[in-house]
Order: sequence, then structure tokens, then C-alpha cells
Amino acid sequence: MIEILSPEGRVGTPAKELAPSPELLSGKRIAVLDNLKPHAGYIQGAIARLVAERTGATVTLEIAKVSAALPAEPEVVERLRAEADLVITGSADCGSCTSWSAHDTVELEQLGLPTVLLATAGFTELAEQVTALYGLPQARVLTVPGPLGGSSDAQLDAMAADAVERTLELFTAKPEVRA
Amino acid sequence: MTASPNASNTNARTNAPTDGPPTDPAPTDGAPTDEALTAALAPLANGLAADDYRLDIARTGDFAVSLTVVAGPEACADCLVPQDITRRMAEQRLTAVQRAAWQIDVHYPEGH
Repeated sequence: MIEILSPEGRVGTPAKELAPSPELLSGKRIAVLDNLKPHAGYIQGAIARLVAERTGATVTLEIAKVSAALPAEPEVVERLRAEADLVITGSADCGSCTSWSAHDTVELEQLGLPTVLLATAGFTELAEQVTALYGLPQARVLTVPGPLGGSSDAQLDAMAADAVERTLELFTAKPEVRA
Repeated sequence: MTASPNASNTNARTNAPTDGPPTDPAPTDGAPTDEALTAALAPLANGLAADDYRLDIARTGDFAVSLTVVAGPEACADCLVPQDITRRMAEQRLTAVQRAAWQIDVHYPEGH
């Protein structure tokens, strides 16, 4: 009897791990990576400052990449690596910007920076799919109701306030691996 | 695209939102049904639908599909998921249904 073995196998991106989560955020440096989608920088900055106030962390850098439809430029990534311990990025609120923000998130996690990806409700699922595609299904995805564009500062501030607790959880705890 | 003799065109439109978190379909032993294909690709369709794009699925073989992304009236031209990401997500979802060398053709609107 001859047993024939197929060399075919599932080919995919090797699984990656999250950057180590800090137990405490006190003294940590938080950065915001803005993809220039409407109000993305505003709400991410608001969340970062609220987290900083709550924990004793500091917001040290708010930086934008050139386009939501492109990955963060190497020099932007380098500044984040040099000047931050934690990153909030996004927004994931369209197909292309979600895809590239997910890409940035996975890259930053692999550089050792715990990174929260801010997604609006309609794009959380896509954000999770794309981070999984990049090998990090357990990525720290933070959902806000949205929409961001067209919302007033007061509405954005309210969304930010509601998101603080979950942001703290995502930064400090290793989220469950999604199926 | 020429369909294989046993191909069927589902004309499935999977842009209807689904309730609850996505779940991977259970793997099957043979060629999956059209319904299984549609279910597997539903999360992909939902993501496209959020930007007012529709995903049309045409089966072209046991393990072959043609995916056509169609822009709706409110579609944002700059918002579309990159084509390679769409293809890779489709491959991942279909492979979860049936481990096979899926042939996946993805067609995007003009200009993408």
C-alpha cells in the first residue's frame, strides 16, 4: 500500500502577538496617529487626554500621516517608536482607511507599541477582519458609534468620554483572541 | 468568464447586514453550497456595503468564484477596500469553509 501525501497546506500570514500590555499607564507616553479622516485626530486626541488625566500618563505626540489611503510613512513610525509608549490610531471609518489603519496598527504592535485602533461601528468588523488578515486577530479595536464627520465637538467629546474605560482595558489587558 | 459545466451563478447579493459577530462557517467535506459561499462572504459584503458598494458573487466552479464589486449611488470613490485585501479576505473566508485551492477573481469598478 502506498500512501500519498499532499504537499498542499493552508498558506496564511503567521500569527503575531500583541505588544506587551503595561499593567499601569502612569508615566507612559501616549501618541495619536491621525489619518486625517474628518475629526479622527480630534476624537483620538480627546480620548488620549482623558486617558492621560485618569492615569497619570502624558500625551506626548499627535502626528498625522499623509493619507488615510496609505500606510504611515517610515519617518512617522520612527517618531512614534521614539516618542511614545502607547498609540491611538485611526480612524477606521471607510474601507480603505480601515485597511491601512489596520496595517499601521499591526506594524506598531510588532514594534512593541500597544496600539488602539479607533473604528466607527460600521467598520469594526472590517477592522477585525483586516487585522486578522495581517496575523493579529486579537488587535485592540475600539469602537465608537460614529459618525465622526459631521458630528459636533460636543458629540465627539461625548463619544470620547464613553470610550475611555474601554481604551484603558485595551491598553492594559490582553484582549481575547477572536475566533 | 466561462463557467464550468457544473457551475451555477448564484447572483447572490450579500450586502444585507447581519446581526451579531461574524462566525466562521463549519468546514465541509465537498464543494460548498451556494448558501455556504454567500454566508462565508457576508462579512466581506457587509464591509463593502458600509461604503455603499455591493458584492455580487458568481460561482464559476466547485472551488471558483467571481466577485464583482459594484458602486452604489452614495459610494465614496476613495473609500474602497484595496482590491488585494478583498481578494485575500475572500480567500481566507472560503478556505475556512473548504480547504481547497480556491480560484477567486475580483472585479472592481473602473478606476480602482
